Amino acid sequence: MSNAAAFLGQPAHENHIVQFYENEDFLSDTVGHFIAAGIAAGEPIIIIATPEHRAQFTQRLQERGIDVDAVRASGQLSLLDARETLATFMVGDMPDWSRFKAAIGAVIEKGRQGREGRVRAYGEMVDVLWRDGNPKAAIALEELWNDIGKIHSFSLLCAYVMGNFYKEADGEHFHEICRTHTHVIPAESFTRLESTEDRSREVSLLQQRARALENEIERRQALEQALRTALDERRRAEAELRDFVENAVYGLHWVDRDGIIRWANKSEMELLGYSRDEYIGHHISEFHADPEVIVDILKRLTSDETLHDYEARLRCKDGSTRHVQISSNVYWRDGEFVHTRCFTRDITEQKRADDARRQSEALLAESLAREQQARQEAERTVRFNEMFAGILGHDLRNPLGAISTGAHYLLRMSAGEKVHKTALRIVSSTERMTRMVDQLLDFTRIRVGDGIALRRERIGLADLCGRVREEIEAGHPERAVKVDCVGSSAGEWDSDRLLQVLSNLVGNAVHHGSGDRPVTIDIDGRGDGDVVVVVHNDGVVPPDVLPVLFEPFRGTAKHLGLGLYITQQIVLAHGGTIEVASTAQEGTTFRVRLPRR
Amino acid sequence: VSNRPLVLLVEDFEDARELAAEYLRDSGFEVATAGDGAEAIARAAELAPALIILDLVLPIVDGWEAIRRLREDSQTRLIPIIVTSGNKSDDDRRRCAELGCVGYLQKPCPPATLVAKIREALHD
Repeated sequence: MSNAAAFLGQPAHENHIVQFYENEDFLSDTVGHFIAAGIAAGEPIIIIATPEHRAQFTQRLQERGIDVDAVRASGQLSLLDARETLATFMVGDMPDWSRFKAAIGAVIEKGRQGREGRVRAYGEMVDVLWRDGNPKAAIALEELWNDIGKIHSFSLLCAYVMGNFYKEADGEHFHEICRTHTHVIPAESFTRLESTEDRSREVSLLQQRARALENEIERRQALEQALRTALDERRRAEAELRDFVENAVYGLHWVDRDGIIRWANKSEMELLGYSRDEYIGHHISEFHADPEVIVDILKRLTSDETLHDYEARLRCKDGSTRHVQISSNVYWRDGEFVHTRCFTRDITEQKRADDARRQSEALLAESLAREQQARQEAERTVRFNEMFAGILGHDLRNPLGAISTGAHYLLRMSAGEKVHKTALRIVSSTERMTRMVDQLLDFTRIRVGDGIALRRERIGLADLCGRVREEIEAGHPERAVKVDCVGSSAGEWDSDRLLQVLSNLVGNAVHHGSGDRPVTIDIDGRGDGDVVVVVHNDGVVPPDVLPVLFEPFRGTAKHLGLGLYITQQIVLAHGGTIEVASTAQEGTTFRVRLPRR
Repeated sequence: VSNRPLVLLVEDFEDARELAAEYLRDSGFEVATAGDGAEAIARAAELAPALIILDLVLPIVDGWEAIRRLREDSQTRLIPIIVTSGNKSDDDRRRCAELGCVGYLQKPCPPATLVAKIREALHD
């Protein structure tokens, strides 16, 4: 017989023993031994157990040759149900001392009636409470047993299945249970060992296992902490991703193969003003303003096409319409259309700005066109006027020719001095008028026609200047014109046109000069590329006239004011330049530069 | 038969035509006149003048067409032609030279210049 069995056969008064066990057979054997010893000693016995255990204990007692029914009938053995007895003193989740004392005290007194010695009791109400997940009540009940032990003399055996304490957190409660008992008997794996040596080995093994388990627990706790941290990190990442998706600048949604919206982010619903229920679960076409557009979009997506910036109009809850660009493709799984991945970009403001820009561009274009039309109209008018002047000038030549011929004819007749003088004036006037008509026609050719055509031939500027001097001096014998030339004055120019230029410049110089000094013509032909002609007199061009000297129609009633304009155009047609400088001290100088070819 | 050369003066502007005709007669020429191109061609064929003074801008048949027809007709193709024109055009001047005209005078032309040109042409 083991020490534990010997001890349980003869427990002392007020012993409060706890037996841990691993299997039911061991418990039945232990309790059977404990009760059988009590019956043999004539002690009152109380068993408070579950129906299954009561049956097992009864069987064990009968196997030992005890007539259980007779013992019960004699009142020595009381068999009580654990749950029913608990119900008599539990208040809420906890045992109540007064009720416990009354209920258990009554049972003890009843068992004791007419018998000597201690009461021997076995109880598993604490085990029931423990199994029910109420360890606090179990420990409190153990304390109540200790308290009632001070009132009634009895020895009590409790039993706990080791399966109650397999969790690491049960350590503290296990300790409490040990504390509340006067004797602790280990479970059968230890109790059954006979020799001290075997028990020492078992203790050593248990110590090693305990340490290994503690280490394992620590390792697992660290692992659990790491997992928990990783899980937290993942939750945070998921929350960030969710925030990103929900609040993205783009509206996002999924549409299934039937066109039903399966998911949409917050941005998209806010853009259109719908709640989740008003949007998700509905057909996407309900929100498109143009039915043919969504039909086309779904057709393309079903054909596995990817859409980029596909323009559409979506209907908002408030009845307004938003212009959007849709980019989308389909998420396929095992060849099955799962849902679209649709990005919606609101371009309403951009569209409005574009429309406004287009409108203002159209207005601008219209006003430009109007302005252009007006300008063309004005140009046509100017052109018409210039052409009219040209035609008029041309047509004036015939009557002018007739007048000139008539005047010359009169001059030839011997018709008296008065007729002669008059005829001279007519001739002079027709010459002036002829020059004016020539200028008008030149002007028309420059402005309306192809410009001044040149008939280039090899000529010398010095010769031309000599001819001009002769003409001027013939007309104005009182005026002197001085020509100087250095270098070669030869070049390929239009002689008639350059004669026109020189006659104009020298004629002006004579007309506007003082007459005290000669008009000078200096030809500088020393350069290889150019010949420069400088015409100078002592007259002064008024400063306000100087900047506009070459502009047409600056003339007075007597002159058209085209002479210098045409002169400049002839020089430009030759690829040359003409400049003027005029001061009171230096007089007036025209400088003409002509490329030799 | 006069030994004064016969000049056919073709000009549609009557005043100019008649004054010029008078001046030329006074300068020693026989003068016949025509007021349009068709008449000019007919009179040239009829009269065989020593020289024709021809305006370019004429009614019915213009000066250019008249020159072409005069040059085609064997009777008239050798008659010297002096062209008078209101256009100061180098192209016209060049074209007239190419068609064999002996002179190109721009209107209004001093009558003395015209007379000098006629004499120069007849002496050549």
